[in-house]
Amino acid sequence: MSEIGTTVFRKDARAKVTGEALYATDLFEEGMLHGAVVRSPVPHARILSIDAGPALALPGVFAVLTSKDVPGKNEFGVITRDQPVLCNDTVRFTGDAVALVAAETREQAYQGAREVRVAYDPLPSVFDVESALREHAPLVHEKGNILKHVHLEKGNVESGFPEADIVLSETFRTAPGEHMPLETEAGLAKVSQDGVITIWASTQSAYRDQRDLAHALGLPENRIRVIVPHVGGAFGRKDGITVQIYLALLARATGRPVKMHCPREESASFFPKRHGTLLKYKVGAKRDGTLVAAALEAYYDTGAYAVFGEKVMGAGVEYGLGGYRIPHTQINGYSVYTNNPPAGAFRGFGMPQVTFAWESLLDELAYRCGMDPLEFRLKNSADHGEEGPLGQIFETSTGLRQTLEGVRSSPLWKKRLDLKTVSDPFKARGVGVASCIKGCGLGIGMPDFAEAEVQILPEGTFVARVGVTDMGEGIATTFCQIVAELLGVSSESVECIQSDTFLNPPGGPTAASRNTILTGKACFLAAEDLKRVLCETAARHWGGAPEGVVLTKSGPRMEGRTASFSEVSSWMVEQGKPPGVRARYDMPVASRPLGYGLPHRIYSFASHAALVEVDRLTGQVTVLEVSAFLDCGNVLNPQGLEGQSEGGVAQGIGFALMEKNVIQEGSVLNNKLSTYIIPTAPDMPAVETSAVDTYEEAGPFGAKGIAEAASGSVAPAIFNAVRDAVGVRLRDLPLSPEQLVEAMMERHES
Amino acid sequence: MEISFILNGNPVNAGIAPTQTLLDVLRESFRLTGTKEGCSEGECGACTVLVNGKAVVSCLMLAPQAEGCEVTTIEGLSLGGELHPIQTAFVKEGAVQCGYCTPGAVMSSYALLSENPRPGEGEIRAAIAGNLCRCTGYQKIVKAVQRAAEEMDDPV
Ligand code: FES
Ligand code: FES
Repeated sequence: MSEIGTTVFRKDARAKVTGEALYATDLFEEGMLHGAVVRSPVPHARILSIDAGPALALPGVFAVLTSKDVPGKNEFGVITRDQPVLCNDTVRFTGDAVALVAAETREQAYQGAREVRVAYDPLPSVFDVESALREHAPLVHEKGNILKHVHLEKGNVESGFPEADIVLSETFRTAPGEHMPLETEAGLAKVSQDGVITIWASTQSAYRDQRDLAHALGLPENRIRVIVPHVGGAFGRKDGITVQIYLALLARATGRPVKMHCPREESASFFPKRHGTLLKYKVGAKRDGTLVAAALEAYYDTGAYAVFGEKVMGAGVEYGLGGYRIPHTQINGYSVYTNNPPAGAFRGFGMPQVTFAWESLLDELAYRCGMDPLEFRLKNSADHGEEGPLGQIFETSTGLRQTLEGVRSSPLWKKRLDLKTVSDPFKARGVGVASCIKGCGLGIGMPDFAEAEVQILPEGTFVARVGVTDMGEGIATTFCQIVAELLGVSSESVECIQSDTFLNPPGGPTAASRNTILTGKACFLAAEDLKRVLCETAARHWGGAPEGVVLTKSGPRMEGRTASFSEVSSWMVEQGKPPGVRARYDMPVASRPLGYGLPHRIYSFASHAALVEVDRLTGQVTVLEVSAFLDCGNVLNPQGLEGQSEGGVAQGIGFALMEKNVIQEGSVLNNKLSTYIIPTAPDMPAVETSAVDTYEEAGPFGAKGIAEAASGSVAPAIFNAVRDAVGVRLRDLPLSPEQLVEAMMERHES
Repeated sequence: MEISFILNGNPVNAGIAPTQTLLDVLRESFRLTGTKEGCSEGECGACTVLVNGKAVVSCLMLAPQAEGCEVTTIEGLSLGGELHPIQTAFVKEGAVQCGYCTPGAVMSSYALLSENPRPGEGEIRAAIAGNLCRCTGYQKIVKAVQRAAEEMDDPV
């Protein structure tokens, strides 16, 4: 194996370092207009009237569209289509879209949007899940404020908890958060003469977008073409409709190309965020540290619309008790509507929230049992073939134990007692550990497959056509490596062409750590098939048996005869063969379904250890070192893996210590990069990444996805390190220095 | 109004509105879209270019202020198709993921290395502190700058 397991530089890196790479924001078309959205300034209200007159009177303003101009169904949403494209009678959050404006310049479009006069009659609102669940709470949607309730049970917690010697009950809260991709939502739409609307968009989900666009525009899907240029970061934010429908509506109504590029404040205020959660846990263990019973009541605030809400909550609770052996468990998860901005998918898909709480709680339990937190986890971690906490069977590669053993053997963990020593009396240091589990793929009940087409070009190079998007993680390079490895060529001679719903086969979204396995495997199968076709072609040309042909780096060889790939390509044409082959791979499903689309069959695991320093006076926490141990199956590209890990740690540190959307009465107060703080270069500690030795049979060359697990256990490792340093534990995320100072003082006094 | 300045080594003129930013002029009038807009408020660094050799966020500079200046954008670093050692180092160290922050980070690194050819790790981190990156965690960007410094110092 030469292509697999070695660092192959990203195929797109050159175009990105020179500035040649085009993103949706970089597209310009002759005669194009710019679009802007008229958004509700209030969290919940009836719309009394909309007057476009003042806007239309402004220079440059070309058109104003309202709900009446939505030709198809005025709704969208990934699973539940409960969000109007343009609100007709009711707005449900501050920022809900009411009208669209197209103008000659971007400034004129936004100016126009400010001048569309909308009269509202306010309705009562709810802004937190507890209020939303009260009797007689204002209803966000007529059907009630519970979007989804998931109930899972294994064993019997009623009899389980009394068996425990130590029982802890704790409530945790996590704040809503922002993805902050460097590129905001953007795209360009154009109607061609044959009536096809082409939308270039910064999206993770070209095919689902095509479906949703067709639904809202009242057009067959073959009239909608979605093309994805380079994507400037997404992390779940662009998994679905952002500006695509607006663009298509405006382009159709005006007959001119229309571009949108959301300003940062708009992006950070009104597009789906990470769910804020309220998590009530109870856990019990024997004195020797054996877990006996656990219960979780989880409330995910999905805001005004579902987006992915029910699935984020459903998947979230699937990970809420980690990958441990627990005989008695009970889970109640609720996805709850409020009048906050909608929440959607964000790296980890509901997992980082519960992982923070659960791994904090386990840590505390370890202390109470008088055990080392790492040994405590090792004692309870489930292995391959064993039953997980929900009753799922870990029937594929299961590396939780190896990740923990990795931490145990790491310099950071071994030296943790020495590392704690610090001469400054106002500083304290501590080391913490935490683990996480994340399913690969969408879960049972959602169609989860991908196709790929691998072609040979006349020049003798290869192309992998896929339906998914590289949103920055580097998956396109991975696909090239897979194809190259199978054909025995260098990945230099393989190109990956991504999402274009007219030219490429469907691939589903770039999400849920599914692409390495799904599209990767589809590439694998297609390349394998193409290899067969190449050998057959050469054999037929030379008059021999295909088994006698071997592929070398430069082309096929048979009994002293050689040819270049370019020649074989022309023979394929002569023999009437198409230049490429397609393959499809379906995500394997779990053999023991639990309902609600749960569980996954394939899981990735991670464990993180963190060294922190706490300033006893200010409560400031600084992360000094992080070691990551990842169960990603066989490593395809070490540099790519490190990239995912280091970026994941950065997002984990932001999640733990900095990032929180301050939302007051439904309005996001910190919607700028100067007020919503994400980690900068000086904030980042040294990150050490290791992959543990596992092999996932289903994945290409033994690999599975890791993007989400690589971030998931960072925050609890930090909170646990703080506990180790100063003896107190906070239960609200992100960590508030003021709260920490208070807690340290309380501890001092008692 | 009309302004003239040196853009990537060539004298240019542009008809602009006095309130336009340098960023908009570069992207819209010259279609040099390598310089990115991440915030328009001087907070992300994606729009960093060199003005008379200094790293500047072009979204905060009004275009008329560029009159007579020497402006270098990411496109100006690899004239003739050959990558600058900083660009090569970014590729080789895996410092690029989505790439949206990359041009700005490369330009800040360029300004740093012009002033301080052998910066320490802390100096590198400080120099790119204004270049936000949501993908990489910065470690590989820092390594890329270190590598570029070594290679530029030690021409083979
Ligand atoms: S666009 Fe200039 S600093 Fe963000
Ligand atoms: S590589 Fe994506 S923001 Fe830096």
